[in-house]
Amino acid sequence: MERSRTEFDELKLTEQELDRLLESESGIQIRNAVHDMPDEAVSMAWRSDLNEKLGMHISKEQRRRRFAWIVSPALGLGLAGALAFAVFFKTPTMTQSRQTAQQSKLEESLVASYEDNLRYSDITGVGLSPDEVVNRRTTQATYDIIEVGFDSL
Amino acid sequence: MELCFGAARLSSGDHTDHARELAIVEGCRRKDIESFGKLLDAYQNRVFGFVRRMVPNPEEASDITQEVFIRAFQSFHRFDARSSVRTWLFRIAYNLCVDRARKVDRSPTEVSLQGTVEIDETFDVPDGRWQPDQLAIDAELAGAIEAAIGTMSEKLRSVLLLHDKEDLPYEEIARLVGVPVGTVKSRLFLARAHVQQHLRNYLHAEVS
Repeated sequence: MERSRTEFDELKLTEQELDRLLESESGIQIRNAVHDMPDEAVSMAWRSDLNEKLGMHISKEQRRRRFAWIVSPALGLGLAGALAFAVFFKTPTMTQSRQTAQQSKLEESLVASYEDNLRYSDITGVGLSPDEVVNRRTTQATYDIIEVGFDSL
Repeated sequence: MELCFGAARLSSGDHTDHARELAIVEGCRRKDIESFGKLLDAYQNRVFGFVRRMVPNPEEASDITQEVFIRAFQSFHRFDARSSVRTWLFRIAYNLCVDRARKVDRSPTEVSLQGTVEIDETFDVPDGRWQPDQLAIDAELAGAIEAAIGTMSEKLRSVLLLHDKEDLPYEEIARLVGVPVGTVKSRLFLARAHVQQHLRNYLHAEVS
């Protein structure tokens, strides 16, 4: 644009003067000479080649539309499936956590019983299980009571 | 708003009515190949003529003209009818020619204003044989005009062809090329002066 301005300035003409020159007789003569230059016509081969290209473009667009027509419901289905999958897998995760909680309780009780065993074995020595100690105590007590009861009677 | 097919009017004198023209444009927007075929019939030679003079290689000109119509077909939905279809097509053609020139990196040869151009108010041609009507039918002189157009810069050539050959108004050329109207006029003046100078040399050579 800058260069054009320079060109315009170099002409040192006002726009009105330029208009007058362009509309002058010789200006019009040049214009007519340029206007009457013969037109080159495109060949039939050119046109058929263009038609072929346009046809290819149309078929490509149709294929794209068809693809979109197939893909868009598939995308919807996929989305629905993903949602369903997410919902479906949420519940088992909760169950698993519950199971984990139960498992940890079981572990705790196992550890507790193991520690009890250790303590009992420290007290009673090797060869006697805590159950036996407990059972023996209770049976002894019962026996004692029975013994006492029956003897006193 | 002009929607007339100026090229069809100029080339064949067939006055297509406005409703038919609108129907063709609407058809082209819907990518109806039949409507686009009618548009092609009206403009293919005009656009090819313009591109052929902008691009020296005829095969390249054919390819660019095809590209013009393929792009028009692809983006017809973007045609807003603010300008005529003709102007829109020539804008696509002009842009493609400019792109091609940039790709080839063939810098346009500017016409020197010093010495060659005389601001001659009357455009006097010394040779009395110079008759524009005869020039048009004389193949040799028409070739001389073609040669003159071929030797001018791309900027001058495009303005000369769009105005004098394709009858586009100054305002539309200014929008199309992206310069002020005054610049379009000055370029047109310089282009005509270049043709005149070339013809003068040609006629002098003929005489001598």
